[in-house]
Amino acid sequence: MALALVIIFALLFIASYVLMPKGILRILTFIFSLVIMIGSLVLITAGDNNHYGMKKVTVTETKTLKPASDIKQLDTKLLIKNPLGTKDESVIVYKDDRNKTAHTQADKNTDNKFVRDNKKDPQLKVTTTKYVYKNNFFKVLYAGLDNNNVYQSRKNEFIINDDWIVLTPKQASSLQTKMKDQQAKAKPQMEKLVKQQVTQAMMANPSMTKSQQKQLIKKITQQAQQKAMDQTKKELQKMSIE
Amino acid sequence: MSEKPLDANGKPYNRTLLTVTMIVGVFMAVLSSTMLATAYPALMKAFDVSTSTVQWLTTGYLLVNGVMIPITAWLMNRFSSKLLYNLAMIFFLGGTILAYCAPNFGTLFVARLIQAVGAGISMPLGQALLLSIFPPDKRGATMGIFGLAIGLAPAIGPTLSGWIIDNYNWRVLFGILIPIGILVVVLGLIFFKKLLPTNNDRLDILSAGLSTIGFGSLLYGFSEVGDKGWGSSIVITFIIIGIIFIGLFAWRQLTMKDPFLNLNVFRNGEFTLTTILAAVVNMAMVGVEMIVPLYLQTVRGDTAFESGLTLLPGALMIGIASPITGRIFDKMGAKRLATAGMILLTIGTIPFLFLTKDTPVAFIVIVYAIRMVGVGMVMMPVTTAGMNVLPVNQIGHGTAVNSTLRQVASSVGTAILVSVLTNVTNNNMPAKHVLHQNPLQYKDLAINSVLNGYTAAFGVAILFCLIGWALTYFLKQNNPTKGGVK
Repeated sequence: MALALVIIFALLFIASYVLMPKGILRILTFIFSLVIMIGSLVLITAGDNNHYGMKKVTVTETKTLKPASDIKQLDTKLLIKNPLGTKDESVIVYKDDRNKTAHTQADKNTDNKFVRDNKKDPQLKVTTTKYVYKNNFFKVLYAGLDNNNVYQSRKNEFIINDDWIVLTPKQASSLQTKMKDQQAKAKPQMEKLVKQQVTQAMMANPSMTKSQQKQLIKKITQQAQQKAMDQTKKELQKMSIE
Repeated sequence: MSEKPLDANGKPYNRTLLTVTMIVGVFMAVLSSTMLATAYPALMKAFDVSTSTVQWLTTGYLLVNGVMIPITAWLMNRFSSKLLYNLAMIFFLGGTILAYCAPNFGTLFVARLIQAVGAGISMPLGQALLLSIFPPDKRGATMGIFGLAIGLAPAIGPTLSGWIIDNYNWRVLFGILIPIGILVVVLGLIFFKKLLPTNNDRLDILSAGLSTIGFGSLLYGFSEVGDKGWGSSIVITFIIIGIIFIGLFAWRQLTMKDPFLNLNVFRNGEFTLTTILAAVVNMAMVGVEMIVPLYLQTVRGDTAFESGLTLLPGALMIGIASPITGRIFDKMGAKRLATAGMILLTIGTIPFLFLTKDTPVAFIVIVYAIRMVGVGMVMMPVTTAGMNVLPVNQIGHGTAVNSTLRQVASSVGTAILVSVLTNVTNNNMPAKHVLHQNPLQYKDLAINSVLNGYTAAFGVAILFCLIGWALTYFLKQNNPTKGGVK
C-alpha cells in the first residue's frame, strides 16, 4: 500500500506541478501529493530502521539432537564447539535427526547454550525472535515489501545428558591421537600386569589348573580394561568445556 | 512552411530515418562504454591480467571519449556531417570487430580506444545535429528520444552484459554489436546528408593539444581518486596539470580569432545556468548509479547481474520519461519540469541515507525509479533549453561545451562520492583486535561502517540535488520557442 501510494502520488505530483495552470488548486494538489508521498516513504523507512508497526515474536522449535561423534567403547557422546575468536563466539557441530552433520549459524545474533539435564532426552531447542506485522493495518501498509518475519536473534539450547562431552576441534583431534597412543601403550602394560598377577596367584596356589589360569587372566584383563575406561571417561569429562 | 526539411546543399532528405540511424548509433556507443565492468572477472581470467589493468578498458575509453568531445566542435565545422558521422561509426565498428577477434589484452585495449574515438565523436555530433535539423519547437521531443538513448544505455549495459557473461562469453559482448554497427554504417551511407554548413578553418594544433592534455589529465586524475584518495601525489599532479592546461586552453580560445571551441557561449546567462544545472544533475545521477550497485553487491551479497536487475526499472523510467518530458518541454518550457524533477530527485535520494542490510528490495527499486524519473525531467529539457537560446551557428560549440562539462562533472561526482564512501567506511571500521576476539561481531561492525560510508556518500549526493534544485528557480519561465533561434 505504502509503495503504491509512493508511485501514485509521485505521478500526481508531477502532473499537478508541471501541467496544472497557476493557482491555488495546483499548489494544494502538489503539496498534498508531496505530503502523502513523503509520509509513505517515512513509514517504510521507519519500518525498516526502527521496526515501526512490527512486534517481536519468538518461535521455539525442538529438534532431536545426535552427537557429532558417538564413542561407543567409552559410552561417551561428543559435540564439537568451534570457537571463532578468543572470546565467546562459536559454532557448534552436531548431527540432526537424519544423522547428517549440521552446525549452528555463524551469526552475531545467535547464542549457543548447553544445559545438562539427565531427565530429558538430548535435544536442540531453537528459539528464534522475529519481527512480524503488529496488525492487519501494517500488513496492508507494508504489502509488497516482503518485510514480514525479519530475523532478529536466535538462541540454540543444547540439552544434553551427563554422558555427553563438548570438545573443541583441537581437543577432539588430540583425543584421537591420544587414544591410539594409549592403546599401543596399554598392550605391553597389560601383559606385564597379567604376568605379575598370575605369578602371584600361582605362588599362593601352585596347584592351579590351566582353565583356572585362563579364567583368572580373563578376569584380570576385564578389570584392568574397566578401570582404564573409567579413567579415560573421567578424564574426558574433565576435558569437556561445557 | 515546406514539408520536407532541406540539407546544407538545399536538397530534401528523410529526417526521420536519419534521426533513427543516429540515435541507434549513439545508443550503441553509450551501451558499449558501460558494458565491460561486469565482464572484468571473465576478462581477467581470459587474459590473465590484474584488476587495475583490466580497468583500463573503461578508463581509457572514457579518457579518449572526454578528449574527443571538445575536438568534435572543430570537426563539425570543418567536415560534412555525413562524412563525420560515417567515419565515427566506421571507427566504432572497426574497434568492435577488432575487440571481438582480440587475441590478447593489448589488442583489446587498442580496440577499445578505437571504439572510443567513434563514440566520442558520435555523441556530441548526434546532439548538435538533432538540435540543428529540428525547429526549436520540436527540439524537446527529439532530444527526449536522444535522452532515451544516452540515459537508458548506461543503465541496461551492466545488466545485459551480466546476462551475456553468465550465458555466453565476453566476445559475445562485442559480437552482438557488430551486426547493429554494420546496419548503422549502411543506413548512415544512405540517409545521411551534409546538414551543417562547414568552413575551411585549419585545425589549431595548439588548441587541440592543450585540450587533449588538459581534459585527459583532469579526467585521469579524478578517475584515480577512488583507488588512491585525494592525497595521492598522482591524483593531485594530474588534476593540477589538467587545470593549468584547461586554463591555457580557455585563454587561447578567448583570444583567438576563430576559436576551436567557442567559449563565448558562456556569455549567454541562460546557457551557462542550464549547463551548470545539467552538470550538477549528472553528478547526482552518475555517482549514485555507481554507489547503489556497490551497496547491493557488498552489503547484500548480490551478483552484478542481480544488482543490475534491481536498478533496471529505474533505467527504464528514464527511457519512458525522456520522450514524454521532451514533448511537455516543447509546450511549457523547462522550468516547471526541472523544479519538479529536482524535487523528486532529492526526495528519491533521502531514503538511501537510511539503508540497512535488510532494506526491502521493492523499496529500493521504487525509490531509485523515482530518482530516475526526476533525472529524466531535468536532464534533456534543461540541455535543450540552454541550446535554444544559442544561435544555430553556435550550437555545435554549445553542445561540445555542455557535453565536456557533463563528462567532467560525472567524473568529479563519482570521485567525490567514492572517496567519501571509502573514507567514512575506513574511519568507522572496528579495531583489529575485535576481529581476533569476536569475528562475527567484527563482521557486523564492519557492515555497519560500510553502511555509514553509504550514508555519508548519499548525503553528499543530496547536497548536489539541493544545489540543482535551487538553481532551477533561476531558469526563465518563458516559452522556449520565443527565446529561440535567429
